[in-house]
Amino acid sequence: MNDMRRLVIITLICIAVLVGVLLLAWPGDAKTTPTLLVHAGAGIQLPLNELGKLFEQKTGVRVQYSFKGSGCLLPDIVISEKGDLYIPGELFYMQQAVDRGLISKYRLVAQMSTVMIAQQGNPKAIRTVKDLGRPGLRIGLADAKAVAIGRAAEAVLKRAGCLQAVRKNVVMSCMNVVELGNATKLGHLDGAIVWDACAALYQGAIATVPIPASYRETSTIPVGVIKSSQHPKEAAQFMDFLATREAAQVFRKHGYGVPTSGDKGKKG
Amino acid sequence: MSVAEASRGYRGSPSNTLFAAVVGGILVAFLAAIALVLLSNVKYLTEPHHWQMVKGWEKKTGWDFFVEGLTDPENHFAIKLSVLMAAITASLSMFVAIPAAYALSRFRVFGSSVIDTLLDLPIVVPPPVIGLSLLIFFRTDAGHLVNNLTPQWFVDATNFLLSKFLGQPIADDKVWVFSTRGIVVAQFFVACSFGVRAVKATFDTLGTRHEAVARTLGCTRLQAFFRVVLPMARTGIVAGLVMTWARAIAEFGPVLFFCGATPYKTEVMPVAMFLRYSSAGIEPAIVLLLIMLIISTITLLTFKKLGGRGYLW
Repeated sequence: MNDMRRLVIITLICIAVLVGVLLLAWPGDAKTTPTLLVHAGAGIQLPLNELGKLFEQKTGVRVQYSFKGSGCLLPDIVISEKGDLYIPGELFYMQQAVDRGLISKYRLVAQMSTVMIAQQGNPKAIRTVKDLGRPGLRIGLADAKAVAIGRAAEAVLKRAGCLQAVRKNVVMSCMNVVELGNATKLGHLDGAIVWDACAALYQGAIATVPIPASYRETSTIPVGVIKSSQHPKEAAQFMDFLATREAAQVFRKHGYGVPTSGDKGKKG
Repeated sequence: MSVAEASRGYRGSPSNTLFAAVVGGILVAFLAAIALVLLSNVKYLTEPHHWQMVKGWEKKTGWDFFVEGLTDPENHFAIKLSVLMAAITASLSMFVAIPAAYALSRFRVFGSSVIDTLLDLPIVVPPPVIGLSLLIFFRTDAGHLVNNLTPQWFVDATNFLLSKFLGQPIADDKVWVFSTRGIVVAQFFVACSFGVRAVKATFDTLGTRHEAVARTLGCTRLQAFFRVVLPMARTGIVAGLVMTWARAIAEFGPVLFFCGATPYKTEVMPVAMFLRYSSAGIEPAIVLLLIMLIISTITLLTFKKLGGRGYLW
């Protein structure tokens, strides 16, 4: 039974390797610092990655993000039963989480306001909000029911009195504000209304057209501690860190504004 | 019409020449379309007018982006993670696929159409369906049981090995959802179904004759399997392994749903591409796309070289 012998030898080798690996891998009594899992909007990656590293340098607590479109984050938290903090791209989503009793406390850490974008060099001469309604333009608008930029854009267009005209030009509807910027940069859209922080991601590769203050809408980025968090203390610490002046500087660098009020923290 | 007449007709008749020209032309047009769509990525990168935020307003060429993408440590992580996880998934898949495919190929059982359908389902359903189903499964009592039954030494060992190999601290707990090792689970269902199909095709083409001869010469079923069937099927199995690996490394939807898109943790190549694109990094996303394209091409060439055929799905 040559085969049997070979089988036994292979099995023994496998077991030996496994035992060796285990002996190597067995952790000593090293104290492990907690790692925070943060459900965050994919559009805010750049400042959050930077701030996560800063926080780790300061406290030794690791911050890991699960990035998705803000609309997908809430179901993620509910279904996976995992996560310490929630940072959606817009306050609107935080309100939904609070209404469902998922958040113990949240703070407002950054602010965005609406701007218009057009292709590089603004070839279609989009100068005023009304221009978006000019016949023949290809305009992108986010889904007003699901995405805050969608509602904000509709409010702007309503105030400018051109919502109906623009609706006729809408060729694309999306669930994430960055998709509007990408589609414009790739030349598939002539114009769209996005957050200024989103437009800042494209520095120079698309044209940015300001919206008059009387029409403008703003939105705030909140950070909330999830009730079921395994590390509520560290989570709250990170939330407070994101509301510091130091963090505000990072947000500003990436084109965000900083909220003047609401910095005191809100009960969920 | 006899065969001879038919073949004479094929050579002579102008309508047959036309037919050959039309089907051949459609093939060429399709090939051209594939090449055009894929090469447009290269063209986009070679256009000179792109900016990227990292260095302020500095103008960068496609080549700059390409070099940056190849030297980016986050991309290195993504490539290593992708290659490793797909390799583990493919190996595990073969442990299931070889016996399962053999059983399917040799035993006629009641309800084989049901078995066939269930087996092909993971290949045919849209990939996110698997990811969401896994998320929901791990909410159920059975799912919690799987978490609890996962031994701590296994968790520690995988964390240790992954950290060593990837050069990043991986510190998952017993919970499989949103964990790095969960990537294997997310890839497994699709890849394994695929593997069963590929290996079964090999067993089917081998036929049962050699085995039957071996058994008349005194081999047991087990001996015939190990000494006759497996050696004969070796090339087919390796080809199946290669394709299963290719399928696993391509998996995006299940990983996004089940493991999340966490940089330096569950960031396999398609997830990395998604992350770059959703923070306006169109060019970095394209660089990753090109890397994946190259890997897929090499894999396919290997597969063909090994004599794999037909059963690509």
